[in-house]
Amino acid sequence: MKLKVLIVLLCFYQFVFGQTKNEKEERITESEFPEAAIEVIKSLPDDCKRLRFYKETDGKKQSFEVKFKYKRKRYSLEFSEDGVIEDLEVLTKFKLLSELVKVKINDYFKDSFKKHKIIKLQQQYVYSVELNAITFVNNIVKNTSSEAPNLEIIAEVKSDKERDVREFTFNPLGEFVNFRILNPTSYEHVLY
Amino acid sequence: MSYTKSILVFWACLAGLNMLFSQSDFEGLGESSFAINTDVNSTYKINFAVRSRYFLYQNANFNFENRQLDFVHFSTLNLDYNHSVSLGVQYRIRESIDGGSNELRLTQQFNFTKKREALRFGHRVRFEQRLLEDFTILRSRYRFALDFPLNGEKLDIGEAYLVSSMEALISHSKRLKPELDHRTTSLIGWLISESLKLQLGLEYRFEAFNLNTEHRLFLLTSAVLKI
Repeated sequence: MKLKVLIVLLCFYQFVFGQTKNEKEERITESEFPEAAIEVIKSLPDDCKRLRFYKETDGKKQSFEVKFKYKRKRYSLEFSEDGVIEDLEVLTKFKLLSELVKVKINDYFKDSFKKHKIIKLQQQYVYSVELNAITFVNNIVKNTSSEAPNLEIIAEVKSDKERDVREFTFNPLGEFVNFRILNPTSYEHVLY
Repeated sequence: MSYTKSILVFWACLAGLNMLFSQSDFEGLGESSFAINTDVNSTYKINFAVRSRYFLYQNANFNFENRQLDFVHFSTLNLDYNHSVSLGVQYRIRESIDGGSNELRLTQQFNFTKKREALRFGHRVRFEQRLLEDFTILRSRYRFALDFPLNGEKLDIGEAYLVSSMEALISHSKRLKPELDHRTTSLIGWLISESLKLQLGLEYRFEAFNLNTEHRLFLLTSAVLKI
């Protein structure tokens, strides 16, 4: 009898703890950051504020991210596992985009969905290997970059019945490139 | 710092504690709840909870005494990702436990949250009709809450989070004078798995502080299951 209870309890334990997904985002220290990336971070302007380091794990894939604030703008710089830049994202607002781009993006949302609501908008500068990493970052931060950024938009969209939060990518002209559906648990947590 | 000094500080703290607990209008209670949340679809979700409240400290003595048992249901309609309206119904059993009046409670709620990096702000307005055996209390309440994960900007499985909130309440009824209450709550929670959260916290209540203030400290424990 006791054994049976124990087995049931063990099964429950398995049910509770066995579901752990291998997806994790955590804050780390500078010393845990890949060495190759440190040089780029050191080259950032001295008056960068709120420099914070993060590590993301998704299954076996790892990536690193450093977030900071410079001249009232929020940046997030992403690195691969071995410290090569992937992209630099700058938080911005929809109303600050050019009229032409705004119209194009709005048309896309209106044509594709019943309802939409923009939650977050970032300009995304994609890094290509032929560039020097330090110049790439500093040109963007100091606003002297000639490169046009993609637009990454997190929005809540409603089609006929379903409603979900998606991350859309638009090219610099405001033309739709792709989207992915975000996991709802990454957007809601505690309160009900 | 010398020994005497630290002993003095320690003693002063103890004395303060003593003063707090020696007030006759102070009560210490515990509240434990178990809740189940289910998403029916992307806009509608339901919540069921059972909650029990018991005295732990009363009339300057530690003792355990059950006070009431609540059965709660909430239906929530998400207007969009950060606005929602809910309707709730709750039945409280007291009569067979401590002789107080049983209660049927109807709740209407509006909730709004705003996220800023890791921090999330929540505003909640509730209107309640508390139908007691002999009379009805109408209560309005507003809660401001703040919650954030303790590691990083996203709450991952196995991580802990903090929730703090302040709530103001005003009650009206034909029998009693309008009553004002204030509650401050702090909770620490763990996301054990995708479906289970455990929470532990304290709530301090100033009850009827416009009439005859009563102080109550609650020890809160809860388990929230999402299926």
